[in-house]
Amino acid sequence: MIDASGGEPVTIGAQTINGLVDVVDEEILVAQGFAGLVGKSVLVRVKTGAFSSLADGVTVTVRGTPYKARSIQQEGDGALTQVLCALD
Amino acid sequence: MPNTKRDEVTDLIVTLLGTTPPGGVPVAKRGFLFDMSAASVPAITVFPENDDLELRGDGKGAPDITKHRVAIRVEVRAKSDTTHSADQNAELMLNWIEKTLNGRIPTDRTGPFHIMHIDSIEWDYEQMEHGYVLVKNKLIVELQNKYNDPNAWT
Repeated sequence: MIDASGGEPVTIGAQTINGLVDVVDEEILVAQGFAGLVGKSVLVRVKTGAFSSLADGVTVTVRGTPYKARSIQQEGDGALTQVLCALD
Repeated sequence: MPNTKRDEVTDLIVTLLGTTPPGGVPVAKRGFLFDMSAASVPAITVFPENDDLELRGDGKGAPDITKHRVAIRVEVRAKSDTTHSADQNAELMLNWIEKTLNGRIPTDRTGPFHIMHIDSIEWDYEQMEHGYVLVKNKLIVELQNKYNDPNAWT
């Protein structure tokens, strides 16, 4: 799936390789039962080890937008690595 | 029927915070955010959180006075930008809140039981596409009213 139609180009350093991109709205900072805020999270899943320069704080370009990599975590059997992408 | 003194004081806090705030500080609102989108940040919201009651009298029959220790929550929500973190962007609002409310007498009444002060401040963070922070100010207001008449000062 990641290499076929479900994947899309992700650039980290000099490498551009297909990854899976999810853009999800989530309710955050709920307090006292009151509604919180709806924030957007941009999550990229790439093959573990595919990007030699993937590290916290490096620039990850997805859909033309440069983000900073935050919270890099392997998933499931370790074949995929999830990266939380932040603008600032 | 008039509301309680607790309600009047909560409204007064909203009014004080909303009166000519400095640039970059939003007008405070009573209650919670109706617009939950990220565009509603920065925001300041005010609501009562807790009220500890103490009854006072001469010990014969019904008490004369209800003493209240009201905790009012003043919440600040902020997000990061390219130059400042979310907590840095919240500090302008925290400065305004402390300057405006600490030591303020909530009514025309004077006395040690009628001065408000910030008792604690707590930060919660969330990292999304931007960094977000929720800062919870616990404001204590001590006041007292006639027993059985929460709209009548003593």
